[in-house]
This record gives sequence, structure tokens and C-alpha cells, in this order.
Amino acid sequence: MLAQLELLGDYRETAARSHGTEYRETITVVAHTAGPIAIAPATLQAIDARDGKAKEWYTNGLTLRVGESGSRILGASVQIALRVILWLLASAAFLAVAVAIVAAVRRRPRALVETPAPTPILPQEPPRVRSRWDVARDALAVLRADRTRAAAVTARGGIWRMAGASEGETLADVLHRPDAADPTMRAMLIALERSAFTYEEDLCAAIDDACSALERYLESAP
Amino acid sequence: MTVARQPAELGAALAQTIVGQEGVIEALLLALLANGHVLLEGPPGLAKTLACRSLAAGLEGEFKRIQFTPDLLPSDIVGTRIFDQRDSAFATVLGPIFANVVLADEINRAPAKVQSALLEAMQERQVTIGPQTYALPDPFVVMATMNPLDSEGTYALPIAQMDRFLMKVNVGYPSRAEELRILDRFAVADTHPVRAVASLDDVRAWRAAAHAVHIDEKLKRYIVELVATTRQAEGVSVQSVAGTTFRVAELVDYGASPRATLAIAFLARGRALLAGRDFALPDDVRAIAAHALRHRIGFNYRIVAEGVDADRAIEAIIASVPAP
Repeated sequence: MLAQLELLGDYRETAARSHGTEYRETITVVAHTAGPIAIAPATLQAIDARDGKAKEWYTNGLTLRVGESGSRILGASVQIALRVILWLLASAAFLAVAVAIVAAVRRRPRALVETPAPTPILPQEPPRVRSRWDVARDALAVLRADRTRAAAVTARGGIWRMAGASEGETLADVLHRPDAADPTMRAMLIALERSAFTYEEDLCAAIDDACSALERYLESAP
Repeated sequence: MTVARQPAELGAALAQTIVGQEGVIEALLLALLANGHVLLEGPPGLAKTLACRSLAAGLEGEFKRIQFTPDLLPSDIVGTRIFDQRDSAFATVLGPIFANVVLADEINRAPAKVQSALLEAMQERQVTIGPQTYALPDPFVVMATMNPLDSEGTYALPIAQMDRFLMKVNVGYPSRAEELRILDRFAVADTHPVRAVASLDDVRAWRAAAHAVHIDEKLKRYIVELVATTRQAEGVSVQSVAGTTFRVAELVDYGASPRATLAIAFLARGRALLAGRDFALPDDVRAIAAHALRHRIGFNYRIVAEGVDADRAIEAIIASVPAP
């Protein structure tokens, strides 16, 4: 908030008044360079006792212009700046007091424990349902990135689950499932089975076949 | 991998003659590819003999049938030495076991001594007659049959002996549609004998190709797990005919031997080759596992007493092991 200004002092006082507790903070700053100085809005984060929710209050931003014509002008500018800052802080303190008054009126005493800054709770988006094409695209990406037996087994597992197969089913079991009635799907399942079980010298060709089968399946996407 | 003629062609030729019984045809081919022997169990009249004869014909191989009876002697199978008076010397007469495809019909009707002679020949692939040892022809496949219906006066094969068979296949009755086709096909005297579609050299090439079929590490572990589960089937349950659930472990005296592990691997390789693949899949293992385990698991009396089908118990064991 006070960038480009040197902080010389910070005085805080709390006083009990008839209308509630008053909190005041006075800071002393000095500017060492001439020109405009932007002061960011002052903010206050507190729990609103009226509804128990975390809230944030803030003032408007402020721009000070520091002149070059001598210490008098500089002193006047600093004084203006200080007043503005004090005004901002007083506004914030007033808001805090108002919140405290409301709390007192409603007689809802709260334990004075330091609460961590509340994390804003955003409404969670429902998890996106992965389509068959997503699964096939992932399997293709896995096989293209890593042309090994392990990758082939991983890709096969993904497509197996996509076809509704449970753990321990064989290719014949999966091909009997209604989900495997599509010819491109069947070709993909057979090609992946080969890549998972063929001998090492045939692995590259088997993975090529599996990639082609996956591509054909993806091309058949509506 | 280049094979002169595909083994599936032989299967198609056999199917031209034998209606239905795809399981038997596949078993014969698998035994041929895995260089093993088959035990066929089923009622009479289910084309077991025809299947074996057709297999030999399809290969241009020699076929011999031995009917096992209680008075059969080992020399009736392997051969004997007879004294030739003209030469004043012993001459060796080779027995019917010297053929490419041997049908040992009703093997359980012969006493243990004869069974032992046959099984020893199956294992060693050679026969010793007098001082001379004779190698059996290659390929050499024994198809032994057992009739489950008529068990009086039979000599049950011990499990240790049965272990020498690569697989045991239960031969079931044909469906109505298949029986109609049988009626049409065999209505005339000519039964369309199988023409030769492959040579014995082809069979040897197929065997080499089957031996080279790749079995992935995941699949090997699956096979070992399957066989191990036959020995420790605590978590597996099966229902009896009456619908009562039993733990399979309570019904098993002893599980399958490591020979079953080897047999499953051989058969899976053969099945992959029949399908035109040079790598085996979990489906190959699952399809043939029961054939390799059926005669190697020792069930106790409870399986009969409680009315549990042994094949269902084996299926439950196989289903309990997740495929890779």
C-alpha cells in the first residue's frame, strides 16, 4: 500500500467508547522522490457478526503528487498524504467498530481466537465425464510417447476398462461384451492384446498396429 | 514363421468327416503339435475311432487300433521275438504300437502290467524287445479311450499314470442339429474318407513352429498361478447339483503336478499356432487349462458323495485366477 514511501512510525491505539470499541492506527511516512505516488486501497478483512461470514471492506485508491520546490511544499504534500492515509485508516476502524457494535447488540459472544484468513469457497464444478474418445486419445498418446511393453499394457488396460471389462477378463470375454460390437472397437482390442503379449521383435509392429487401430477408432468419433 | 501347410487345414479336413466334436478335433491337433498323447473319455459311438483314423489319413501316417482286454499281454502291444525254424534264429515282430497314430481303445480294460507297458512306451518313445531297442515312429500320438458308463471289470488308471497323458478330453453327445447332419452324411456307404492334406514332415515343422510360439512372462505367471491354485484352492467354491455350495479345497486331495504347468504351456502354444499366431494369449491358456488339469487333480470321495461335478470344480478354479 505504501510503496515509494518510507515508513517512519506506526502508532496504534484501542479505546473503549460508549458506542463500542474504537481502533485507531497512525503511520508517519516520508517521500524521497518527486512525482505522483499511488496508494493502494486500504482493506479490512473481518467476520461480519451479523451473518457470521468472512467479508472484506476497502476504500478507494489514492494518488499523491510530491513537488520539487522545497521542503515546505514537500512537507505540505506529506501532510496531505498523511491525512489521507489517516482518513483511510479511520474509515477502516469505523467499519470494524460498526461490526463490533452489531455483535454486541445481538449478544452473540464469540471466542477471541485468531482465525486464519478464510479461504473463499468456490462452487465446485462437477467432474467432467471422460468420453470413450478421451480414453482412446489418452491410450494413443501413451503409446506414441512410450513404445514399450509397459505402455502397451497400460493402454490395453485403459481400453479394457472403457469396454466395461472387469479385472481378470480375457480378450474373448471382452469381445463378447455389447460394447465391443463395433468393428473398429474390436480391431482396437485385438491390436492392443497383441501388443501386450507378442514377442519383443514384433513389439514395434504390434504397437504401430495398435496406434493405427486407435486412430481409426478416433476417426469414427461422431 | 513359415509352415508348409497350416495345421488348421488338417482340422478343416477332419471336420469334413467328423460332424461336431470340434473339441476332439482340436485336441487331436493340439496333441500332434505338442508331441503329446490324449485320453478321451466318453460313451461309445461318439466317433472317437473315426477321429483317430481320420487324423492318420490326413497326415499320410500309419494308424493302428488296439482293443484293450483283460487278457491282453504287453507283448501284444509292443511286439515279441519268435523263433524262426527256417533260419534257426529269433526274429522280432513289432507290435501295433509302431504307428504314427495309435488308438488304445478302452485302456482301462487291460491289467496294470499292460497299461504300464503302453505308458512307458508313450513316455520313452522307444520299445525294448529282447536285447534290441526300437525307436517309435515320429510323430507318434496315442489316443486312449475310456468308457465312463461301464466300469465293471475295469482297471482304473492310477493318477501317476494318467499324468503321462498331455490332456484329457471329455467327449460329449452331439447336438440334435449335429445328429441330423450325421444322419445325412452317413446315410450312404461312402463316408468321405479324409484325404491327405499334410505330410509327416509338415507335422514336424508344425511342432517346431509351435515350440517357437512366444509365451509372455505375464502369461507364464498366470499358468503357474492356475496350477498352484489347484493345490491351494481355499478361496474357491463350487455348487453341487443340488445347489449346495462347497469349498473346492475340501474336495481336493492333491493338486496338479508341475507336468500340468508344462502341459498348459505346450497346449497354449499349439492353440496359438492353430489360430495363426506366433504368440500365446490368456485366452489360449484359459481354453485348454481344463484339458490339462482334468486328469491331474486328485478329488476325494466327497466330490461323488456330495454330487459335485469335477469339471465344474475345475472351472471354478480356473475362473478364480484373474487373467493378466
